Amino acid sequence: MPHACAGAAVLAVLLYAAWPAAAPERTAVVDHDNYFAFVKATPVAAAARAPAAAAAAGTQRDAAANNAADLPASPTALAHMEAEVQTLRQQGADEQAVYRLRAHRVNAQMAAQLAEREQAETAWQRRVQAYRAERDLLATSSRDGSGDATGNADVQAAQVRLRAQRFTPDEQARLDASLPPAQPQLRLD
Amino acid sequence: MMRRIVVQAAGHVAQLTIAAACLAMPQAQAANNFPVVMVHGFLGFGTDELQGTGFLYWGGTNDIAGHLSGANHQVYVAGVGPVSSNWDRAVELYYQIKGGCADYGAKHTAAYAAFGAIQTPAGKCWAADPNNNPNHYPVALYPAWDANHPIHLISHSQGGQTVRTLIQLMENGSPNGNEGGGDLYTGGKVGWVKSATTISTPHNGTTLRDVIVDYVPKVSELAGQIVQVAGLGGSTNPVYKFRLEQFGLAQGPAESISDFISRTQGAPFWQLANHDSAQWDLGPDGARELNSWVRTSPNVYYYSIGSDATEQGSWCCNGTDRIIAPFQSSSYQYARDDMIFFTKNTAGEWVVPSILQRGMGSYTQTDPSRVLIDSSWFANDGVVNTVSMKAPAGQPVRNYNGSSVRGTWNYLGYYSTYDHFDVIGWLQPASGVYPIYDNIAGIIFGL
Repeated sequence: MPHACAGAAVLAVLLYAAWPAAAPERTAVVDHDNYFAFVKATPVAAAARAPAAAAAAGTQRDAAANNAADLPASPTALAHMEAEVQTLRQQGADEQAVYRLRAHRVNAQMAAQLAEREQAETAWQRRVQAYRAERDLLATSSRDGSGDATGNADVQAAQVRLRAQRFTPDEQARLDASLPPAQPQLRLD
Repeated sequence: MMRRIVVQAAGHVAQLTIAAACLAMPQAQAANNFPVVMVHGFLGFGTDELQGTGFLYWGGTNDIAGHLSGANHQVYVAGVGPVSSNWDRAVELYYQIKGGCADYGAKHTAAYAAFGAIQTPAGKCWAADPNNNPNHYPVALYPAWDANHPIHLISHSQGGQTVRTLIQLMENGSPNGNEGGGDLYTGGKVGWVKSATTISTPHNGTTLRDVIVDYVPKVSELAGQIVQVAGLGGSTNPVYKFRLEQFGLAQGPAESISDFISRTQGAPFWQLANHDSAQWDLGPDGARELNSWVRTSPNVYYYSIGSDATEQGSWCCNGTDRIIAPFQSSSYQYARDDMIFFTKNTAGEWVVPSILQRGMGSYTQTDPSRVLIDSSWFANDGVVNTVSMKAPAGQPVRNYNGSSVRGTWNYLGYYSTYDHFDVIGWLQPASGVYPIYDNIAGIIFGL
């Protein structure tokens, strides 16, 4: 049994060593957490991670989406692949394993784009959480304070300022969708 | 003597208290308290179906009708054909409210005889008088219904097309002329309906009909998934009524959905050429045909409400389901992650799984002989395109501004992030759905 384990480990090392041949050229990426060294960040990914002032990159996003759409992979195959990725993660697999699965199912470029997108998604969620915490802090300070109408109006104005400071107008629309109101609200836009 | 004075004083205090309480009650401000009849949509069900877990069409694990009744309103829940045409559903709705046996009309039935249509089938009667009901029919909802005893209609999904059809038939009779003398077709029943509210109704059809390739298997699958949501899947055999006696397709008392579909799938009713069926009325072309003769009555207050559970595609960072659509284009719409599971795979750019079959979020249609479908149709709630929920095309419509106009559609707006079943409270907390109906009640009881 120990021999079998050792054999499997050697095989895994050899397979891993051979694998990066299919991946894009390794590029050192600065300012990344938990990111693949061999995945080069596109301008799109950089914009999604940046604070509001540097994040206006709608056309670049479209270009990236179109590039991805041009690649030969059926929507159904992609959906099956992503379902497999979800299962893999639930089983505790790391991002290297996820990358390898995707590169095997589609191709290295698409796997890299998906990894970038997930990094950007994580960064976005961090920004949303940070914003929510600051917003809630403002509301708490209002309740602890006078709580009169003038005080409430000040807090609301501060929350609007905070929102504008943290997000671009495009991002604010996405923020509304990610933070649905507690009560149903009719819209006429 | 003293005891008598104390009792009298206590009586006065009690009267004053009751009077004060009455003044403070919201319904004291209501201009009317006419009964409400709630009409379900495609694949919907009545209160006598899917029993076992308490799951309701109107509310899921909430109870919208009970919530409204609790505010001292009379509320009735109707159950009509879940896959039937709006004509057939309107007929059933009329007799179910008023009492009597459904008469689908002589000319109408003759037009669909090739598909097995029957004018007056057994199993579609309601008793107007519970004390004179020798055949033990279900009791009619509101037999007193007439111009002096009008009702409000609240409808979801296809139910909105159904109540419009009902109002048209009641006021103007059949567009085909003499239908053989049935009570519904005599016309002149003006003032019987005070208001009609439609929620997520495909007034101009839904492109879901066009993106579904295999209609009959899909109906079976969707009905099964609804039963699953209701918590009645597995080994139980829930009662789900297809109510197709008017096509000779009576269902056994314990016949399951899949057994019924398997037994009847070869019946002419299910053919796509049969336009006396929900599948035709729900598509854009069928809805246009319906709208050509079902007009907006000048005597009724109409309200419409929409829902939207898709988002514009984005490279990242929106609220959509990325497993179904990992790559997205900003030109199209994609299902939100919180959309009910069984509509997600048809709501976005592609139907998944399929071989490049476009989903509702990107489906267009340019054949000039059919209804043109452009990008304004992309946003949807998983079942119906949001743009279709406002009003029938070419009929009067306005945005509701706090005042109501009769004889025109008063569009209240749409609920963003709400899917087709969120608006009827499925998988929603009470706080997410009751305000929708409180808002409607505030309007219609103020008329």
